[in-house]
Amino acid sequence: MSKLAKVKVVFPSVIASVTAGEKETEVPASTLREVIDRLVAKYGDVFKERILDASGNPRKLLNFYVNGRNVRFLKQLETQLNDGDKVLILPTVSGG
Amino acid sequence: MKQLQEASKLTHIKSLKCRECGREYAPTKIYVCEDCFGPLEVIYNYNSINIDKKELQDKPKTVWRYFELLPIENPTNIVDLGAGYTILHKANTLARTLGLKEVYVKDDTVNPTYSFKDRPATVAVSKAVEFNSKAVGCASTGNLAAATAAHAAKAGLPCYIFIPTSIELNKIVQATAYGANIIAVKGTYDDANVLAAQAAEIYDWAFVNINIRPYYVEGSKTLAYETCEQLDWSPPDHVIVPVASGALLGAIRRGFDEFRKLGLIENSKIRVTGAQPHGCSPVADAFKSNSDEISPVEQPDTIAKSLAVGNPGDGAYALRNIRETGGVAESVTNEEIIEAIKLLAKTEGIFTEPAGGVTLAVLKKLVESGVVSTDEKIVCYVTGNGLKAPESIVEHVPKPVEIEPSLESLTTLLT
Repeated sequence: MSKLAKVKVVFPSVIASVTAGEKETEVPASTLREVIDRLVAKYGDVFKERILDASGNPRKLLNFYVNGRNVRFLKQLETQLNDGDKVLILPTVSGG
Repeated sequence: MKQLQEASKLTHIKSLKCRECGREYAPTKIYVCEDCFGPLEVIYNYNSINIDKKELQDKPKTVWRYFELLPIENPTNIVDLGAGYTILHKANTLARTLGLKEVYVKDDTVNPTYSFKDRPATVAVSKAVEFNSKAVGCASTGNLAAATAAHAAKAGLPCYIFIPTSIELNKIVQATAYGANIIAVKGTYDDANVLAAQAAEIYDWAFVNINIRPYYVEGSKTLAYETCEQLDWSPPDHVIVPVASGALLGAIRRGFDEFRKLGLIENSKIRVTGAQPHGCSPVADAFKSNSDEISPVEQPDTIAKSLAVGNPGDGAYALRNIRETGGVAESVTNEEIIEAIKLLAKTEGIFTEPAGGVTLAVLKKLVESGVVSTDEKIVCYVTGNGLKAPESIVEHVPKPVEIEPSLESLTTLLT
């Protein structure tokens, strides 16, 4: 079995209350889905409820980026991760 | 809740309310709901707001004539370059050319920095002053850059602007001239915006379209207020709005709704239509495919660079507003945009950047397809000046004829 990649995860301050105040962490994972599973294991149900909707999918108003690329343009939760990849979670931001 | 009640006693601003779940917050420097990440909207104490039509005549000819409906508590914090109260042209020649009865053009090309973005920027930078922010910033497709930079200069605040490298030269030059720090990001607007959002997590700056966004968007609704006032309180049947993030379209609808709520206009239906360019039309594509989901565009490709927002934050709300009001969403090609720029310039003497061309081209397309009926009273929002984006049109207008400085040469030319 191959060794899992070490992935850095960066959180927005709006969820700091469910990450014990941590703004970033590192988890072993080979896909984004595994990242979320690891984070839920680490931070518990309050984190899960904040990040995922009732059907277990990431909330629609959160965006996930891997190395700056929105996972909607990759393979969503099945996006493969490599050692040193950075996962960024941000609320939807608008502009103009 | 106690904090919320105390805040509302002091001001016309009641709260910030989540557009998704309805949770209310005190009006501080927050921008998304802590529960569901929905966007927050400013709620006013409408019962105590009394807009008198006659008194309005003596108010300043800027967005600040509607102070009671803008989210600034203390008027001394206002940073004002004169944004708003732009001309609403009765576009008779354009209407005749298109076979329509009554068309108006709201000409926001003549704002202080030559786009509608001065409206949200004056509100946002004023709010940054009210929050005692040390600096302001934004992510921009170009027009917000200049508007934020100019208002920051007036306020004496440092300004940090995140732009994609691809935007028009004039927009970069303009924002730089106001003294802003321009950070050109090698990527799309969405890349620049995500970087700015990360910066907003680290630096204690007021990012006008990010962490003070609920206040910022309020400025744009004045386009609807002015339309009502300038049409002598007889609102249009149909408005055509360019769509980038979708926030402008929502703000215009909100403006009409608020005037209805305050009894200033009758309870008639106003169709709100969204206009997008081919190459970046996620809202129009969703509308046409009867989808509720916006599929983002990773690499926008259009001459309408100010509308090149591939992942529109307010896209789903724009779609909902369009459907609820009975409007439509439509997209047009670069060629149709250029023709529309020339049409507006030649018929009404208004030179718009491509975003305004998108609006006009969509109107033309909807007339030709019968979606717009000829007797509708229509307002087109033309949101940016043509001088900001000459690259788009320079190859599509005739080159000047050169002659010797003599009357003979002129006579030869004219015969």
